[in-house]
Amino acid sequence: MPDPLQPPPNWSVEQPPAPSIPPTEASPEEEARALTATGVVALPAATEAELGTVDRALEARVFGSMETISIRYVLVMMLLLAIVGVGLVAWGWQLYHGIGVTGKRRPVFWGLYITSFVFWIGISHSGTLVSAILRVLNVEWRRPLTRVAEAMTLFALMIGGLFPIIHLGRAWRFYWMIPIPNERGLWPNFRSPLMWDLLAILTYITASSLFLFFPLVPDLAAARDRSRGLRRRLYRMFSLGWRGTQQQWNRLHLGMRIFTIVVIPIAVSVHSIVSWDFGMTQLEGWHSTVFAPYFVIGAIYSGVAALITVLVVVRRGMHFEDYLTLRHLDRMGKVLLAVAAIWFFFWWAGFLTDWYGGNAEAKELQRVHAFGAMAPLFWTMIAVNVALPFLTLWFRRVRMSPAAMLVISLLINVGMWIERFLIVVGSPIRNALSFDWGSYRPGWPEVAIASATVAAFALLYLVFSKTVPLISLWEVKEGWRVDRWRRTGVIEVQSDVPVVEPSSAAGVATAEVRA
Amino acid sequence: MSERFVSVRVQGEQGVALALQALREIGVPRACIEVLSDVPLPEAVLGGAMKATKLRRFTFTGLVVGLATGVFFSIGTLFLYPVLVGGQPVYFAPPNIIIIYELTMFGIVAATAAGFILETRRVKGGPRPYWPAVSHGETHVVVEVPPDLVATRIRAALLARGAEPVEPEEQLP
Repeated sequence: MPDPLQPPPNWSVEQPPAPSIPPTEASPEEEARALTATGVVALPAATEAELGTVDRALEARVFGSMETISIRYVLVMMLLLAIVGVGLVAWGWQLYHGIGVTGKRRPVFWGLYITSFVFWIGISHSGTLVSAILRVLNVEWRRPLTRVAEAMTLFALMIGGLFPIIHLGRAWRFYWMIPIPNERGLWPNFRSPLMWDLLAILTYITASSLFLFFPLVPDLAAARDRSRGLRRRLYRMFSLGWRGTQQQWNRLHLGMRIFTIVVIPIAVSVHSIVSWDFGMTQLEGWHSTVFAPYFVIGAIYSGVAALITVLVVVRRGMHFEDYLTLRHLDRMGKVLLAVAAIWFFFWWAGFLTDWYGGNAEAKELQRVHAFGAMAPLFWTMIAVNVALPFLTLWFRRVRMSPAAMLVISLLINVGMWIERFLIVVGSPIRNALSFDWGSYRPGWPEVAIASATVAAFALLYLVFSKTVPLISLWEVKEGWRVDRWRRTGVIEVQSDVPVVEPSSAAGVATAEVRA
Repeated sequence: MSERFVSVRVQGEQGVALALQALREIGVPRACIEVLSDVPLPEAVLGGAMKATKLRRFTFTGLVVGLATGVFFSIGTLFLYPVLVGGQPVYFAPPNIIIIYELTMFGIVAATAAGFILETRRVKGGPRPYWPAVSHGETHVVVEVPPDLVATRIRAALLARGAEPVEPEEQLP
């Protein structure tokens, strides 16, 4: 007779009476629910212990990476801070001397700042969008990389959102964009695409921040429960009193479902609106009906590339090789290749139409780009955005190589920045008035500020990596259990979904993802 | 003074299922039971959905408020402060659709977030027992003792199914 106060040694031997078995016509999910609720289905206790081991290994790795600061980290931080400092000095210089210190002259009034604005908004796209699409499709391998992607979006948006303010020159008049009535009856001009930009970016940054924050709450609670002092107080504040009740999990899941559905159209609208900043003008090279989808896919292209860059750096820098596996890189490489093909299709559609149409302004623009002053930039863009992915990413060996993927993704982003430069600067230099043709050379403050924002992005990411878990602990743990729940019939089996299998070799967590 | 909460530690999903079954058998209402874990448990383990959330209502309210704000900003202000430009209408639909769309989305996002934060932070009946070990893998069942039952009976029923008694380490909202 077993001791009633102790759990039986093996749950699987405990068989319930026959009447609790549900009728056979019930759905598999209903059957599983009824069976488990009455204790008919026994979950393997050994797997629970195994999962406990891999859970602890995951926590040790993730929290360990947050709690240690190496000399290399400090040196990189100092270097980045120095670059950001130079950028701030340059901005101060521009504010003091006026916008004339930049290279913005007729006919180019949107120079490096708006190029960088479009570039960073593009980078911001993929994090949230990739994460949301993978969540909607219930792709299991998304779990370790969603937070890395979502954080990227937030920081890229913060950086991108700075550029219109810097570009204003008199940055202190930014508040004129805020829709508050004043004594002169001057409300913002809602007809202006600039106003659309403000609202779209405001909505997107809010949605992206919350999309990052919601699934972070349980992990902040976990961090709260193992920290002390000021850190603990901060985590306690931001974890919203999380206790891990099933009501809270239920609410979190529902909230994430709502956000996932809402954030996708918001992301698409943001870059569409950015493209309309150009498309609503009459300028050749800008006025195009295909610009919205072209910008959206361009944003996803540069964003996926940036995500791969960040993945490789985080994987190596924080020793997450067991969780951000080579298979993740492989899959992201395939996504990058597919997006490269779509981007090329849209680019080619616009290029071919302009060329075949024979419009004199369009042909002159194409000549300047391909054979004139812009030719080096143009052919670099073609080489790295078209030739490079198609010549390399077909091969699994390349996709599975972190070093190769790092180089390819960085080069693609160089190419995408050039593409934005060709649009923003390369179009107005050959406008409809031939007497107004000109050129553009950025001033030193523009170069310093644009460079500083790259450093600022890295800086924000470094600080973030030491502040919150970069891998979503509960989602990874849930993923491991989802596999077991499927096998034991607790939840509906979806045979088309890859299985995440935790294997424990000598107590070391190895989260290999196998299809 | 009678005990307000009975708390036990259980082993994995099987322990949860057994504890819930024991509580059902002695007539503890579902609303009085909380299962604390570091990962969300499937409904099959819990024997059905736990307490409903009002998050959808927040989302819908946000949609309505966002839409109304968008209409007011983009259309209302045009008539409040009309700018008459030769040959141009005071009201113009296409750009307003963008403004209304973005503000509606903003309303949905902001209200859903507000609902999530409010519902998570404001717990009816004040702070409740919590154990930091829950964040790191332990699973606990907390029962708010209903008026028609005594704590000792609930505890005995749970212990008989293999649960271990635990004392709360802290209180959280």
